[in-house]
Amino acid sequence: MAQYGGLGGLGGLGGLGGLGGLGGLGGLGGSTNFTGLGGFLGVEDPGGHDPMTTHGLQTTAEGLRHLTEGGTMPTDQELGFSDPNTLGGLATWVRGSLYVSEFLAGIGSEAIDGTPQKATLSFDGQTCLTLHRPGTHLLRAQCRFVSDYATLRAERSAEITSQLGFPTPYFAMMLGLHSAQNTKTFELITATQVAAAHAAMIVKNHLAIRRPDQLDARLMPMIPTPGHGSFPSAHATEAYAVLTVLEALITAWDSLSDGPQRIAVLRGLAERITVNRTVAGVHYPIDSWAGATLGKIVGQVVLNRAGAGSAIDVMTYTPDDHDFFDEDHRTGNIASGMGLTATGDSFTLDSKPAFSWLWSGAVAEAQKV
Amino acid sequence: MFPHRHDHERIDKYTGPYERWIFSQDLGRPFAFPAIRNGPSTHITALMEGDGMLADTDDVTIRIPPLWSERPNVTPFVMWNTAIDPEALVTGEDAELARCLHALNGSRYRLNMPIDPRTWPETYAEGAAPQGWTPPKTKPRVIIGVIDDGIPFLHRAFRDSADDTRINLCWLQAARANASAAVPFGKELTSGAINRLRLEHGDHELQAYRAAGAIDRDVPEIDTVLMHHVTHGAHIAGIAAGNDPFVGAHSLPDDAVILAVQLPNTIAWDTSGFGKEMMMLSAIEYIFNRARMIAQAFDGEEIPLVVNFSYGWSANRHDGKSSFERAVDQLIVARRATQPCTELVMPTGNNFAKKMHARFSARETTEGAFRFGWHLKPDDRTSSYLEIWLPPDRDPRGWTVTVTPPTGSGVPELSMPITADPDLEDGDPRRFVEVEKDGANIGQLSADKHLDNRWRVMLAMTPSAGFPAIGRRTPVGLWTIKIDTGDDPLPNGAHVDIWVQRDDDPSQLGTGGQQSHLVDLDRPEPPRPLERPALTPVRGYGCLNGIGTAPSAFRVAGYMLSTLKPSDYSGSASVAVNADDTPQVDANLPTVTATADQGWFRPGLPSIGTLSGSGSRIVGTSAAAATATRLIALNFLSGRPACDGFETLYPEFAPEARILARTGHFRVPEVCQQALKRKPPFVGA
Repeated sequence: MAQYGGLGGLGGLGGLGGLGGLGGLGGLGGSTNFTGLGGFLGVEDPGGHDPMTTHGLQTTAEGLRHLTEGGTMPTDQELGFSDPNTLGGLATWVRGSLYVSEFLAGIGSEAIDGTPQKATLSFDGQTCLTLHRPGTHLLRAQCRFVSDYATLRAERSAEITSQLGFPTPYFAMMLGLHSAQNTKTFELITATQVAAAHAAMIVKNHLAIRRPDQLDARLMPMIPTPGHGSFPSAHATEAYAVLTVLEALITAWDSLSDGPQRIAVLRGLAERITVNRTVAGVHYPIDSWAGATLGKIVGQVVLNRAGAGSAIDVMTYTPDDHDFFDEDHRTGNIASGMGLTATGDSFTLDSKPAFSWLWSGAVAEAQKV
Repeated sequence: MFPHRHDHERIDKYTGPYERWIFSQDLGRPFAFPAIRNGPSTHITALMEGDGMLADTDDVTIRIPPLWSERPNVTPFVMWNTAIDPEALVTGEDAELARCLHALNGSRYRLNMPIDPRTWPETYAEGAAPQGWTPPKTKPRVIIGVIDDGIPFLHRAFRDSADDTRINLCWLQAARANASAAVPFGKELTSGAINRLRLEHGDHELQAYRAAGAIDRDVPEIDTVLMHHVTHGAHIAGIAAGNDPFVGAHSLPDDAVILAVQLPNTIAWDTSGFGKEMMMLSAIEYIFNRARMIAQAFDGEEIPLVVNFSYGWSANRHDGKSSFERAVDQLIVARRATQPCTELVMPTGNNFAKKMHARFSARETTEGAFRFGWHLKPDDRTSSYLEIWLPPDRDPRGWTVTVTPPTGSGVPELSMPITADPDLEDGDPRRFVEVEKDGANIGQLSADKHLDNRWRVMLAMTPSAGFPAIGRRTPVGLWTIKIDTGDDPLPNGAHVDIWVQRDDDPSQLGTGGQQSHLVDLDRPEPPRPLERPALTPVRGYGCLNGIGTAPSAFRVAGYMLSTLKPSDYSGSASVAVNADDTPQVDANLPTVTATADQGWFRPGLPSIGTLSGSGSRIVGTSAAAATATRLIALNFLSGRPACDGFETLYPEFAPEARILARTGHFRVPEVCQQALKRKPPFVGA
């Protein structure tokens, strides 16, 4: 007779039904919340039961097995072979893993030495972004912005600390998302954030840029110095990737009469989340420029993989000593004066089943207002 | 860029730097307070300097509020310019205003803030008593004037022993007007009207305020301020004039009558300090006028009056000579001729520790020049203003001002001579230069000889937060300003004073302002804990309410009860250093110091909230001033002088200037929660 089996559950679940990164609002409990990659791990995975239940199940099994004897064999009905319809029956974390696989298949990057040093990112063999590595003189100059923005720390504290993980509640607030009505929308947001985080880490790893507080003793950030390079900003990447996907989703819903205002406030939110990292003392404005650019591309890749995207513009960013503002970033002639240029090339990517399934589910969640 | 206009359409032909900045769409107007930003300004307040008659023209109807003065040297008025189309866009409006000033024969008029046309009664019964007005039940032994925002006139604290209101009149300057009124704009509530509101609505005070137009969502200058748990006006009026357990002070008797004026919200909102003098001066003239009207209903002898005006700005000339201060001083001095018991109580302000003032004398100049930093913060949604005041009655010869933007901002450095522009003939000598970034205007540097007797350099900058629709934005960070005195150095004993304008949001109106501050470029070490700050160029001494420097103003500083030391933020008189290196208070000594904080862990003072039965705490010299007002009123009631019973702080020795500058000579005893202790009521020493 088996004794106390089971796993006692995975750590950091925060319970069933709406507290995990996908089921509703708020990140997961525990350390997974702060890495930016924990959005899916363990959601809808009950693990094992507690020891007493496990024991009770086995004694019950022994006591009732006799009632199953003597019946006919049940018919076998097969699940669909490589069928997107089975996706709905999977645990959320399993779909999370599939989204990661679909996003990362075909991702490529290159580190190009020279003057300047560059890192590129590509999908399906097509380069979408080239980032030039900022030199230390530029980083030192940028430290003054980090110092100037520190005056906002007191009033932005609550935002900064609650945005250490994925800032999903902030996006939810702008669109009035509901955990019962918008399960697929939440899943899409989290999948996008996870994809953005992976993309950012690949590029950060090549460029290896020190954080502002590592260069300048005066900056004393209000949150722990993150364990990865500064340029580009993962928060900016995630925020702008989600922004890009939500802009497309609002357009596809075509159900919000105040759509333009929602999009305007989402843009303001992406900027605010991004700039909050400079306020906190862990990013230069050039990190925000690079992250916003990468984020927009990641968003477009997600949309392409979902079968809903349009052409992805190939971008090059040569960081220069400027502050970051969303209006500058999205206005072509201003942006190019600040180092961000479109090469003129563009490309599309093939769609993939899990993302496509997710997208149609999210589109179907339009509120009729 | 300030486009070319014809002479009489150039607003700067008639106006000083603030008006030019605030009213021009190409300059600061898009960032101005809503009353101006949303324009156009068909109805606008203004001041006239000097003697003369104000007369209507074909296009302009003029109204003068109830005055006490017969021949004021500054006349507040309001005008309706029917030539301005209310539906028009604001872009050309500075030209319209210029034309209007041209028609009025211009340079003695100074435009102030616009008012909402809905606050303009069709008929202004000038000089008449308010309709339905009744005098108080008996002749008051003292009248307490309260000028503030969000005044809860129905609050139980302001009732007498018969449960009738002690407020004889309350002027809501920004409320929708009735068809006819004895005030030129807004609404005047009589004691009868207040009592009737209570009769009709009982305890439902919010409902009553709505019915009275004191809560009015659609009128931004009134808005829903009274729906907050507490307003500045509630807290201050509670201490100055209220009987309530939450204040806990010794009671004021029934014949301590109240006259109240509620200012428009812009007065709290706006960060320029510009454009409010007409409203403020009207409020004071009105209270004096109505106090006389009450006296005339009895034996005609003017009644002891103490007015609490807990407002302030940080910039301004600080020598008592601004129009508002001269006007107010004239009023007080004239009234004291027949009624010596007349006081205007004002706080010293709360900016001592905010690095909003600097003073440079000859000893701080290097090769004839001095420099300082001005730090502009990010995400500031309101304009920022800096004023540099030269010594009075002196024309600088060959002085220049140079503004250097933050490193890497892309804005070129600019210089300007501190001299008059010969093209601007009428009015004060002045000159304007625009600060630009990528061809778009982000600021205005000006020099003007204010009221033709004292040169001022002013730098106005647009917000540092982005407004995508406008596309102009000031770079964040450290701006450096240099004054070069050339061959005309500062004489010994003279100094240049710099003030940064207030840019915070004390009433939580959501302005999005961020306070800028000054930087000592020499980076002196800060004082040690418990050590008195040194007289470095950037200093708290001289950080004082910029509208409270009239000689006869009763200035109140703040101290902490548990330590008897000045509150960290309490504004201070300015200090000069003599030739023998001794410091000396040189101007604007506080009259008294009063409790502003009860202790380190009980900051501020307790008082009422907006609704009867609610309480609040507010921190600041405003509340300290209100305690002084109340005790002055109690003194006047018993026929004693204003400061009777106040402790003389330095009977035996002259204190060091830096101590005296923050306290004045008298300490006001505790007021709040005194009636809750088993002590005899307040009597003079």
